[in-house]
Amino acid sequence: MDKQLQKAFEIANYMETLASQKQVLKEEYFQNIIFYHNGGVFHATENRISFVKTLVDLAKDTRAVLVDENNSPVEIENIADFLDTILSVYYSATNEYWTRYSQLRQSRTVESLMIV
Amino acid sequence: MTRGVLLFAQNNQEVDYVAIANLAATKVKQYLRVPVSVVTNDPVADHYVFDQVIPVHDNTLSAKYFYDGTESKKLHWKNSSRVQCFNLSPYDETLVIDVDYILNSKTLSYCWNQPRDFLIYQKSFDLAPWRDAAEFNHVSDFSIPFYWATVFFFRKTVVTESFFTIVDNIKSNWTYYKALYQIHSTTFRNDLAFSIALHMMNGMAADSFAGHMPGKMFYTMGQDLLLDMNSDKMKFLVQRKDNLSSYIPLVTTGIDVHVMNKMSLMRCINV
Repeated sequence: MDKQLQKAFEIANYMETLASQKQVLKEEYFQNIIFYHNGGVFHATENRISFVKTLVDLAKDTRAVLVDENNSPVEIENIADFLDTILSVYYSATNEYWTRYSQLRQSRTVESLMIV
Repeated sequence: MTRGVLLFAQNNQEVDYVAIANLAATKVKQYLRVPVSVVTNDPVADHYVFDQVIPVHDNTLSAKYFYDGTESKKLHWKNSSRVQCFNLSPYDETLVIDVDYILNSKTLSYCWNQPRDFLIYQKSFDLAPWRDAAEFNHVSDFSIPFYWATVFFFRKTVVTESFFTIVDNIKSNWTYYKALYQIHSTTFRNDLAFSIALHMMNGMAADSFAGHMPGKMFYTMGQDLLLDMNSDKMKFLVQRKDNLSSYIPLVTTGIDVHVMNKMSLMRCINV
């Protein structure tokens, strides 16, 4: 096999591994945005954060009821504290995702992808 | 209210399930910090890891193929005592985990502080996502949703006892239920029996009885290889698409993974 073709196969192999590892990272991120509050399970998504921020801004009461990922109603005693929690989970998960994703992009060989 | 994890470990000719249960128990203590009991009819060397060693007499002897990458062997498989977990569990709140479900996070600790009396995984993610996962979506082409009996949580209540009674009945009448739900698998599988029982508990309609475990259940098949485990990282070789004898390396960090290749799991724990 000539060197150019061998190099092409190596790059194809690298691209395939990179794509698979990116998919695993994405799924790990979705796992990391899960958090629990008062017996309910929530995902710290952009939608959830926006809605909770709306409640904090517009609601007259500090208490609210949210429907969790299992479609169960969950009482939130202090919606402002809940917003802090959800933002903290979101920041932590997205920062880790970004850090590891950046490392992936800088890894130029299959071997280095395994270290991320 | 007592709580703990229950593991089932029945060795066969080549797979030392008790040794794998040891690893699983160590991981449970590290991440969930609850007592762990093991149900087995095999000798347990390291008693100190376990809260209780619960003897069971499992005289069923089915066989199935155990894959180790591209190779496979037909070996004995004893997995029917799991349907008795309601009676076997010494805890009021029990998390049942397959010994080959390797914990790397606190995700499952959610179970203890939530209101549902029964939780189970329905959503899953194959680390080789190109593989057809249809068999893990529905129990057959025109049938009911599939649930994983790999990990589930239950509180001892009259309702959950009824669920396990139904599972036991399904096991006893497997030929009938297999035909009724158009299942092609010849051997009895807990996943399928649980899926049928959940369907019945839901009044043959959409789910309401069971809550969902948080997130997805990550898994690798027997054809994939576990290379290494270190802290919360696991390194795998997963089968490549369209070339089943070649592999792609993958790393997972901080997620729990169901490793179906027991042989590679045993190699990693030096059994």
